[in-house]
Amino acid sequence: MKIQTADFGEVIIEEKDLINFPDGLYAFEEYKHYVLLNYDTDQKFNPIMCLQNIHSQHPSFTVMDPLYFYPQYNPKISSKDKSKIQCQDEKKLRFLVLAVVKENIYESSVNLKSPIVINSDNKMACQVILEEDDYPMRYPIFSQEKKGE
Amino acid sequence: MLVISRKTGEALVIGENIEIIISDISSDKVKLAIKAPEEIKIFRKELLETAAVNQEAEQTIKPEVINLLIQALKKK
Repeated sequence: MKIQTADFGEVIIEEKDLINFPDGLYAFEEYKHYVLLNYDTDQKFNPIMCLQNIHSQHPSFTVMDPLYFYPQYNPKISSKDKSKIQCQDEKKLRFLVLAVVKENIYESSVNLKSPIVINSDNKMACQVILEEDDYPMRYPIFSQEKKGE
Repeated sequence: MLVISRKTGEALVIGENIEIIISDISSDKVKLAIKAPEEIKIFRKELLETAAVNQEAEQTIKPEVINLLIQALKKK
């Protein structure tokens, strides 16, 4: 199917690539169908992707693989959240975090407190707010000393 | 800011019709029961914060900026 995107113009996607958010994302509850698009044509490097609504250009989010810059990231997902996405096997869960990208890229941050959890078995997803883990909502992508560059 | 100490089972009242009861206390958690009129919206604060950060994240970024970010991450 063809979709209109904010950053890539018209894109053809496959039905199997759809990600369904039964509850949407916080502040965007009415949008429930998304697809992940790669920004970089170099397929070997994609810690940064676009989470794109399939029905219109917006909303569209920049998302990142938290393990790329926070290898020990291993949040505990509550059984309530797991049942929302019908998770049978915790190993099939994949995490993505939303990035706030700034014009000065060294001020950009990611939200580690409220990750997106995707069940790769059925492509159902939800945004969770971690209760037990003390992760920040604005974790800088670049370390402090790099900001002056 | 007003700071009040309360024990399990005790309560406090805000205005005419909001009552907050301390339902349970454990080492690092307190469970609250809240009686309030339906029109009063009650949210966990981090839920509103997440919604605000999401809205900020949705603001359109120029593809050039994303490219700069990718190049900078590749150098990391």
